[in-house]
Amino acid sequence: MIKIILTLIIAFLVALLEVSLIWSLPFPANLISIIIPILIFFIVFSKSNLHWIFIVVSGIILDVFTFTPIGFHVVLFIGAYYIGRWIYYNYFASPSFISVILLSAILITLTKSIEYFINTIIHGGLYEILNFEELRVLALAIIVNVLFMAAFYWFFRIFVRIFKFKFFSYERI
Amino acid sequence: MKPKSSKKVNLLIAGIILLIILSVLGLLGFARDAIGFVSYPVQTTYQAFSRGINSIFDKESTEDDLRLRIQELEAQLTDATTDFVELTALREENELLKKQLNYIDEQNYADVTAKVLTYINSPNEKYLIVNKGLHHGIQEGQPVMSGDGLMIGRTAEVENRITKIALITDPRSKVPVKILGEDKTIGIASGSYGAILKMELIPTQEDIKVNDIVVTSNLEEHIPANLIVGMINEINIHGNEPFKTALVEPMADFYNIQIVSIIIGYDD
Repeated sequence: MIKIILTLIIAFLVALLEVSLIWSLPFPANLISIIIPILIFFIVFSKSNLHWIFIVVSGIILDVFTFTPIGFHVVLFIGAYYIGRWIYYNYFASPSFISVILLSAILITLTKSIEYFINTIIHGGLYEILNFEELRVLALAIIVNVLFMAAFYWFFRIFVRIFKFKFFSYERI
Repeated sequence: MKPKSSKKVNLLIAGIILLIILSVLGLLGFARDAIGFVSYPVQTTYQAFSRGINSIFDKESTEDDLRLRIQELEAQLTDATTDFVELTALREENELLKKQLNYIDEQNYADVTAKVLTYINSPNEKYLIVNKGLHHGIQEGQPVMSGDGLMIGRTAEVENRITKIALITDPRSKVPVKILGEDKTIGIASGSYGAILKMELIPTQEDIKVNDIVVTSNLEEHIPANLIVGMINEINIHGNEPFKTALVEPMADFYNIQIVSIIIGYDD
């Protein structure tokens, strides 16, 4: 029960951190996503079912503050989680640096592309899909997020080594 | 028999589908309000951090500016010993509100004052989210100001207690404008993928100069005339084309906006 409440609070704070702090940072730092890296760490390092709470809470918060229908980001993150899990267990199956980076590149490309596609349809219509300026930003977002993921991976590794954090399986790193 | 976890997953998926349907039907406004209300203190803290980080990137570069900055900081340090953090924040907020109210009183605008919850500044979307909405009389398309009559954007989406404000620099934003002191509309100021506005469809014969102040014209419903949009910093004439373009630098400092006024009515 404590783990559930803790995950709920962390998901709430992380989603708000993304919305209120990261999105306000100067470009291109504002393209960073912190929810996807956490989702990848759930895939790679955790066997608990707490990812559901994280996905639902962070997805709903993002929906509220991006004015998309509530549930859109939840579905997006569930899809990303299962695709990521399938890729990880079929092609990588070891929590190495390379596998985490490749997985993040795939999931970030997938989620950002879907968000871009949906936003373009909502705001400008299909004829705006080939807007090169926005596609350039999309490409930059993928690069920035992969670099962020690399930094996040090493930070997480050090953090777990120092504190022997039991929430994730220490032995698997 | 299905395993227990599979049943839970099915139940969750059904719940999410129900949420999307209810949301599309507009029946989840209360949930958005509740989340907006609960998250307000956390967002205020994050926004303060964000402003702090942005101010680091916004440093002055010339020697004189830096010297001036050191003097300011020394003065601030002396003052800060006597001030509590909370007291300072309250004082700032009070000043801002007074400034806004004075301007509104002078212009006979009916307005709603709202606090900024978040500022989204991606190249393809630039907007603010504020803590007032339909319940406070806000509707879509109303102009939003900050400081002494600086137009910063327009309300784009309105929920019961939160509102999304599309900034004038948003690539999809278009505002009819004129030069301060002139009567007729001379062009459309559109947002771009950067921080500058592009003023298009200016007839070649119009006499405009760099440093002219660009204000709103009364061509569009809901938007009163003479709200300051920005200052012209470049004019481009393309061969024999009947129209020229100009680049307009917005005057508002979007990163540091804490309180905004949404004009919900005005006298012509």
